[in-house]
This record gives sequence, structure tokens and C-alpha cells, in this order.
Amino acid sequence: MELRELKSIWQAYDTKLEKSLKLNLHCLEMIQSQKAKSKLKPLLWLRIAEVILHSMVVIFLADFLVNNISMIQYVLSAVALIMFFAIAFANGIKQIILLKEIDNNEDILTIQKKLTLLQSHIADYIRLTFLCIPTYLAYPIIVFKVLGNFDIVSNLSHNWWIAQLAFTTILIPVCIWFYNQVTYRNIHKKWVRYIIEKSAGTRISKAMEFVKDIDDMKKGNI
Amino acid sequence: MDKQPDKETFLQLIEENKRIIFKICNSYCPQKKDRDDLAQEIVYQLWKSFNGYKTDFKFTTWMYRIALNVAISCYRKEKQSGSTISFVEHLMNLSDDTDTSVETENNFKLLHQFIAELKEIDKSILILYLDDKSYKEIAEIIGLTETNVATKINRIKEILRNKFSNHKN
Repeated sequence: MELRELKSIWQAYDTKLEKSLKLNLHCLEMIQSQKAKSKLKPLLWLRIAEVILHSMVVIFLADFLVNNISMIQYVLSAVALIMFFAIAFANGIKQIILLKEIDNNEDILTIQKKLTLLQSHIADYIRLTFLCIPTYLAYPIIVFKVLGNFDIVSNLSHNWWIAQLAFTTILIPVCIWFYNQVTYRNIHKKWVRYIIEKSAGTRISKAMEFVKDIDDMKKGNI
Repeated sequence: MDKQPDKETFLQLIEENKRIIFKICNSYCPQKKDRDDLAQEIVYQLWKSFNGYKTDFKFTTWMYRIALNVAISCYRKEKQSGSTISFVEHLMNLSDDTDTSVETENNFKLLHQFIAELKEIDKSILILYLDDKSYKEIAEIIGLTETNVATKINRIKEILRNKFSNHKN
């Protein structure tokens, strides 16, 4: 069987449908009377809640920063966390824009890419986790100050802090590198797939693979 | 406020193009129950988007875009959540009063088997190609350039050729 034959079978099938396919008009009219419900609306509210939460954290940290501007340990800690939550906030805004942009009249690849990026939003959090690692010191510094007005920096040895800072300095470029690597563009790399599958499941890794396929298709690579 | 779409025009257009919906449902859903859900979901989404239909596109181009998008999205979900709307009645019924030979029926089955084994986007491209759509129209529906559509169709042909020879053997 060749493709030509396949086309003629398809046409025979079309002719058969022409003769024997009947539409249930009652059912069609019932569909028309349904109120337009959007499956994407709950997702939109969830993203709005995320953005509000992240902006509240940023406001709280900015307030903390202003109140402790003269103390370098608090300034550095607050700035590190503000950067982290600002990226999370920006990701949320990007998702809301994506949701708002979804239009059924667009071409298949554009819509499928948008829908799949929305489905795999959890991957953004996995990437953010890497960025969060170098800021690990900022949390106890701020939490102790806010909850107990306790300055852990001056209560721990000078050498311990120097060692921690050196370690954090090494971690920053490493974690930024991981952050840039763990995207759907690198899902073909075994270790990236492994991280995604172990943290978010195979459904998300498949979704990311699908987005990469769409990009490759647009470039004419597959 | 949204303008109320013209119900009668919509019904007529769906009636004229019902075969497109059926063929897409058959290609993306092996189970009959899922096919019914998908057909209802496609018609529902078409109705919902009917106000946004721009006449600078052919109706079938617009219809393929929406129907294939709904089919791919449903197909990609691991667990079928069913349609947004669900009726006990079937939207489409295929009567058995046509005389089709056993050989033709077997050919239909084989054809669907080949289509079912393709990736989701390749399925869409093949359906459009088999429905005699031009490369330009396929490009508009899928969102690729005409050159990329031609390359993709050649690759699908190659995949099918291998399937044919495996089937013969």
C-alpha cells in the first residue's frame, strides 16, 4: 500500500460519511444553549492568588529593608530574598499574560505551546528552587530578627560567617547555571529530564518535551 | 457585551462540515465513548468561538484549527476528564445502511491504525493532507511555514512507507 492508496481510502471513507453520518440536531441545540464556561478561569484565579502572595512578601521584605537599611547583614538578606520573590512574581505575571492571550482562533502550534507552558508551570518553581539555594542564610537572619529581634550574625563566630559567605559565593554561579539549564529547551538532556521527572513527574517532562518539539518543528528540525 | 452568534448559520455550517469533526474524533480517540465526548467538546468550543470567526479565513480552515486544537488537548491529557458538557444522546450517529465491502472496512481500520500510531501534530498534518488541503492552508492551520509543512509531510510519508512495508511483511 502506498500513500496514494491511503488517500483514496480516505476519500472512500469521506464518501461513506457523507451518506451515513447523521447529526443529532436536538443535541446540537442543547450545546448551543450551554453557558460559556472557561476551563482556564480557575487557573487564572490561582495565578492571581500566587502573584498577590508574592507581591505581599516583596512588600514585607522591602519594608524590612527600609527599617534596617543601616545594617549590612539585613540589607543583603532582604535584597537576596526580594530578588528571588520578584522572579516568582514575574513568572506569575507571565502566566497571567499567557492565559489572557489564549485565543481559540490562533494556529495549533501557538495554542498548544501556550497551553502546555501553562500546564508545566510547576517547572518554573523547580528552576526557582535552584536560585533559592544560595539565599539559604537570608531566611534565618530575617526570621530571627523579625520574630525575636535576635541578631544571629553577631551571635555566631566571625569565622563561621566567612566560611558560609565563601560557600554561598561559590553556590551563586552554580545555581544560576542550573536555573538556566533546567528548561524545556534542554529536556533532551538526561539529567534535566531526571530532575523534572523526580520532582514533578513524567507528565510534566512529557509536556516540556512537547513544547521543545513545537519549537523544533517551527525551526524545521523535525 | 458579546453579540449573540447566529444559531441557524452555525447549525448549517456544522451540518455541512460534520465529516471533519467525525474524522478528527475518529483519528484521536480509539474509544467510542471518548469520541462522543470529544465531538461534543469540539462543537461546544466551535460555538463558543463562533463570534471570533473572521471571514478572511475559510470556515473550514477556522474549523480545523479549533477542532484539531481541542482534539490534541484532549488527547494529551493522561486522564480523560470528559467533555465540559455531556449528554446521554450521541451528537453524531453513523448509520449502517451503506454498502461497504469487508475489504473497504478493513482498509478503513488499517488507515486509522496508521494514523493512531503517529504523534499528535503529525496526525493533524496527515488528516489535512489526506483531506486535500494545500500546503498553504495546512501551514495556516498548524502554524508552520509552507517549507516546513512540505518537509514534515515528506517525513510522515517516510514513516508511513516503513509502516506499510512492516505491515506487508
